[in-house]
Amino acid sequence: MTGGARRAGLLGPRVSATTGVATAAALVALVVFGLAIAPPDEIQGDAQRIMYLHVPAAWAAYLAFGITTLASILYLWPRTRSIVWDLVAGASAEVGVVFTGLTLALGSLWARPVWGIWWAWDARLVTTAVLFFLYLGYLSLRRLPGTAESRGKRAAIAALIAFVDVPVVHFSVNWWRTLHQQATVFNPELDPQIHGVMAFTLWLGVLAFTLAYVYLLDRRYRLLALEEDREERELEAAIRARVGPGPAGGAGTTGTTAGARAGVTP
Amino acid sequence: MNDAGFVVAAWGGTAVVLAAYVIRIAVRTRRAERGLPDGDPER
Repeated sequence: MTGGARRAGLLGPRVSATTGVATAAALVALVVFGLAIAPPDEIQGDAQRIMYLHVPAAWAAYLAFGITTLASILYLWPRTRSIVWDLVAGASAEVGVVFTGLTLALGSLWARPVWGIWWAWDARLVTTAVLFFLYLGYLSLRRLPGTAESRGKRAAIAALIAFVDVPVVHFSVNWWRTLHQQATVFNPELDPQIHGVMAFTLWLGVLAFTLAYVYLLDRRYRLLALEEDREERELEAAIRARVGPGPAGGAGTTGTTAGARAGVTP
Repeated sequence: MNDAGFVVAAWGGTAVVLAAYVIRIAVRTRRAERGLPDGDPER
């Protein structure tokens, strides 16, 4: 993919705009169903309405980190190595961190009325917090100085290591005795323990947050590509200013860019 | 705070976070399109 194509984003302007509109419509529908149409829970009352955000946010975080892992594998694999995969991985990880932060905050707001506490040192909660900090570390690693290739390789390896925590988070409620309830939908029996309009609202939330993830990934990727291009231009200008245009009018500096790049940050 | 307060905080907070993130990306994208640094002092 060329720099110009990268700058257009992953989806292209028209599909991206359509995705944005679809995301907004799905979120509005979620608000209507989640706050007005779905009935309050028999035991938890209205506090259970937080589930329609908490579960989809957790799903979107899993999806984001899964895409980061897939893109990192494609970057590490020599046949498919491309800066596009590195940028996809970085963009997806940042969106995933936002959704993980939301998952933790929403979980805390739900825990206070139903458990009576904001936080517990529970296996699900702790492994999710670890996930949040692992990917914060991944984003910090991407900001360390170095060539684009060294950044891509170390970030991709870190992404593969960080992803190990995702199945630990998901299965923590099965592996250990936890205060957190077991999976309602994606349980070991794949038998959703939720019915009627509440189930529909939950699926609507999953759809809305999936669309939001796709839209945010596209926008964040485009920003990374623009910044990458700007840094390349600045570096080439700096090299030209230092060595002069040369006999070929400075064309020779282009080939040195990748090797000479330093301080590349997303 | 009663249940409704927690629900309002959760839904309102989510809306604010997502909106702020979209706006932040849009502002930084506009600056990048004009070739400007994003204002991060580390950059």
